[in-house]
Amino acid sequence: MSKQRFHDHAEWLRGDGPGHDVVLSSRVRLARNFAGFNFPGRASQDDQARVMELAKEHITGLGLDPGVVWVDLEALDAEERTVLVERHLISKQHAKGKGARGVAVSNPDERLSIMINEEDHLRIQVIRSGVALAEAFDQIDSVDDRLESRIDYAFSPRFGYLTACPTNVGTGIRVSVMLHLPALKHMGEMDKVRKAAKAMGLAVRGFYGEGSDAVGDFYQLSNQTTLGRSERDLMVGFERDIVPKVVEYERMARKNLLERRRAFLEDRVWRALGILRNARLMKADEAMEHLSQVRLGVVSGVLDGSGLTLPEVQQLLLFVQPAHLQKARHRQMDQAERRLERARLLREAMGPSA
Amino acid sequence: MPDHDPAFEHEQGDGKGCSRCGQPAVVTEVTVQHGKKVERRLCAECAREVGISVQSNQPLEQIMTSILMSQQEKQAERREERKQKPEPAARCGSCGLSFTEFRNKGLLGCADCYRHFEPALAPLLQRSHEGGSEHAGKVPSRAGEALDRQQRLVSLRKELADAVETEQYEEAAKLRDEIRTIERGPAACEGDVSQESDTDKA
Ligand SMILES: [Zn+2]
Ligand SMILES: [Zn+2]
Repeated sequence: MSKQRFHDHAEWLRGDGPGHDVVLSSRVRLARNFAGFNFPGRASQDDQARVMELAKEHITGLGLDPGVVWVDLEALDAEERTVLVERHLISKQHAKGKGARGVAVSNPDERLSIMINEEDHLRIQVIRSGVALAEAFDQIDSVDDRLESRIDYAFSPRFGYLTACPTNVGTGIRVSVMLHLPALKHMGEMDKVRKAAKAMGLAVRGFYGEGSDAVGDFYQLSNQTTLGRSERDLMVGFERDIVPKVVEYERMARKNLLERRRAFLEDRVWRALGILRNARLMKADEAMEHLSQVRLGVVSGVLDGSGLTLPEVQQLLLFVQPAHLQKARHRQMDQAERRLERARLLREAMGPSA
Repeated sequence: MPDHDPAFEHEQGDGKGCSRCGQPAVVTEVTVQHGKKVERRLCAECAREVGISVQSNQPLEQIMTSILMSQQEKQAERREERKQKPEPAARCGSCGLSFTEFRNKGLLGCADCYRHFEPALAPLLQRSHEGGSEHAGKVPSRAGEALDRQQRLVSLRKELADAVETEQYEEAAKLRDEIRTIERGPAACEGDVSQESDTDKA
């Protein structure tokens, strides 16, 4: 993968779209399998390679606009694969996987990515900045329609789209929104959010999905069930109920902080910015925590006049990650060096006391 | 199910002997066998022989060991369970996956597994999908009458349930056949998968 292939800016961190003050991105993914082949976990090497060939032929044959970059994961080194994980284009599992596997990424917008031979033959994903579930769904639905006009999917009338893991069977859909909830966290309301999400059958995950902590007050909310409920039904639930409620709740908490605890809020935000502008050694998670406070400062107006913009702050969420940091500095570094370089990068990016 | 996980408790040197050789015991191995807690005291030498680390101040290793042991225990227990309650028909005819392998890894091997293990899978699916048991979403356009078939299946299954309840077994058998035929239907994945992949390779 050449450096030019992927832009510096990831679509889902663009910082626009409706509700972007609370919602970073909207994501929809579909799990699909080819009929006539074992699922990847049980496929022979030959079959796995054959699925790759077929996927390449059909995906690149779609003539999508914008076009896709075809990435053979076996041809990438570990760091290049990690870059893709950090950009949310492939899963950790896919990066670590074995055998013929790949990903097709729409270029340059990176909105669409299709993992080949992950847990299922195809994992199609569309990601958009802000609240844009309907747009994401329409795009993925049309890509899916076009693929299935060329490929026989594994499908059963009773169970729907057949997937390796039975928790995805049916629609094979996972809808998720990436939320930034620092005010709810400050107000000690996150337990309530978690309980409510659980009651609605939703999973709450961290910035990097399954098994990752909610570092920097970023939370992914996604559906857990896929059988017995239509895609539309699920989408409507997210768009009309779940997302507006959480967004409203966080906005109320922010308003509350601004009106009643302004000094506390300003202190948190400016303190975080002070650390980012002055620290000499910085861990990735610590950077995320401080960037989270700065993000809150930017969207709530506390940092008006500081010259910091939301897209800049959000791109830093990506560039403090180990592989992106190395990419930005064009070299491999050990952990100690990365902490040094990360602090330097943050000072440069956030000025003025650099 | 065991009511607690196996663990190792380090001896305080109370002088009681190793259950294998009688030397002073340094470690007590606690396992659960057939639902009962079984303790075995071991000296350092015997402990090493049976593969237990007895170095002190190594809580992490102890934890790891007890986790490993508890997994072995659970596996043994599963084997036990299997003996008592036969698993659904041995292996998927297409990919060769056994239901036990599915239960251990959580992943099915191929599309046919769904049909092959359907009776055992159906309740599992219902549990993990908040009661959802039938697909209610998109249908591949090329599956043609797939939607009709799906609706037909839903009503046939209801009829079947009624027939069984009212003890009309002949009728039930007929319905079952009809359901099978429709399920095999023209959808690509419902055909003979192993043959299809053979043709693909040819
Ligand atoms: Zn002994
Ligand atoms: Zn199978």
